[in-house]
Amino acid sequence: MTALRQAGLILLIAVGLAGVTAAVHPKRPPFLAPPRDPNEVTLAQTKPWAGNILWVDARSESEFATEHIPDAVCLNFENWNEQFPKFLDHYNPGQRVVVYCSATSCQLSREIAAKLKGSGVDDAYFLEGGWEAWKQQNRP
Amino acid sequence: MEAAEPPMSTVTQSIAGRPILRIARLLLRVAIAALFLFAAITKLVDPSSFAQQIANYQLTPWPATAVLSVFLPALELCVGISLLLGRWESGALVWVAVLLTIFSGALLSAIVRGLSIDCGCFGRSIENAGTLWPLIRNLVLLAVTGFLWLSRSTKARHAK
Amino acid sequence: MRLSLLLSLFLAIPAFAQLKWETMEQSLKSKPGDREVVATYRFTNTGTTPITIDNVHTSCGCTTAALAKNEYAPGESGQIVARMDIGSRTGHQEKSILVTTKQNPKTPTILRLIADIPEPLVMKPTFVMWGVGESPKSKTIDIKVTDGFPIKLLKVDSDNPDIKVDVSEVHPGVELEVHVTPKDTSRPEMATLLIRTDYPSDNPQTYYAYAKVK
Repeated sequence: MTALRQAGLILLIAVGLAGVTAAVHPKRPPFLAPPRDPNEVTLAQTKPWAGNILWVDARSESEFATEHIPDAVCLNFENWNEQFPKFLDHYNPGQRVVVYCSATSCQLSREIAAKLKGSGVDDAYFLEGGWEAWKQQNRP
Repeated sequence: MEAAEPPMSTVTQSIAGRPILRIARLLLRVAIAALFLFAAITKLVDPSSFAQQIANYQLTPWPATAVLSVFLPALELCVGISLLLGRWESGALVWVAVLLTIFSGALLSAIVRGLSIDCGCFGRSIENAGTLWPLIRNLVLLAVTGFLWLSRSTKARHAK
Repeated sequence: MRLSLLLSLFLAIPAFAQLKWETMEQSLKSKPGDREVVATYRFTNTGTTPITIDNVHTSCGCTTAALAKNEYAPGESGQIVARMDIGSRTGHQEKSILVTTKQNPKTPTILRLIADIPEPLVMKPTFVMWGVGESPKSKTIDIKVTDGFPIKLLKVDSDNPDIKVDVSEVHPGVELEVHVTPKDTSRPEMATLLIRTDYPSDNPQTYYAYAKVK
């Protein structure tokens, strides 16, 4: 059992080292919950914004045409130049803009929200869970 | 099988008489040590970002992810040092095999599950897992580990 | 005999990856005005049995991957042509293409397409707005060329005479302040501002900003 005993000792030292690192490392990760992107919002967080919210669909136009959040505006990288003026038709400064795409794994909403922020839309967020999350909560 | 004590393994015997193979073995051991030390240090520099990479595999709940982001590099560091110094080599090799198996399993799982993620985007879980090469590399390392294990010197095998 | 035992440990490499790829990752840079980035991934069936590629799946709707046919005999070569639509994307883009074969469905190949799409200039903001009845004071759009980029800002025009632009050159051709002023804000108006440049010389690009009274 020599090998196992050695492995056990190595484990103990590693645990000790890990403990010290966790205690003092300036870049240690938070323990309870993952760090959140400040621009990410959950569906629940958008509830108080009802009435002053503009939904932006970052998916393709065909997916948008099939179904989308009511009153949402389609805005994606493929057709930005054509769609952005239409977005401006709907947008009023002071509104909260929330971008969504298919699901959590999709990064498009994050990227489109970032592009909107860079364009001058200060209150641009992206929806955690995307269309899937909205659909789940709004089942008829 | 000889009844004498302690018996040398076939592999150890093959090396014992051939200095060139002993040197090759030393180089392989140091190479794996270097690999683990490098891996450990790059992760210990920024555990937060390593935690994000672990999270992308979507295999563990966050608190476990946070613990692993600090524990795994610490273990890699200890293993690397052990192999470099040639002390507690048997114990270190056990961890090498365990770690390589875990990493390969996670990679394979991410690749396989990538097919079912919605949006046609398999998002960052696959893109951060890299290509198939890490998987192949790990399997080669497992083979090398097997060799190192079987060719341990008789002394290391039966020490303390 | 014993040596072969040693060697056999080194050969514990599973025999998948019958398809040998010339390269599995490509990095490309695009020019302003390019509509897409194209990368070709060549492969050869180095095995002794035919291979069937039954699925090529991209990580993003913006990327298509085309394959001429699915079956490749031993020794036969083929290629996957990946096209990533640039659209209005900028900066560093990484897209993946998953290639699965019927023979090895659990071990797909992942090809990567890495594109760097330059952002020749930065506009902040890209639109200005007034409410109907709001005081028609001038609002400013700042346009700055990215450091070192060989592009010159030539001219800024409004397509609507009721919303005027007045350009101050902070640094001629490189940094401009565009002061936008509506004639009045009594009713809704819309103007597209055209920012003309000289780059690239064979296809000089025009960038857009917007002004609205609503």
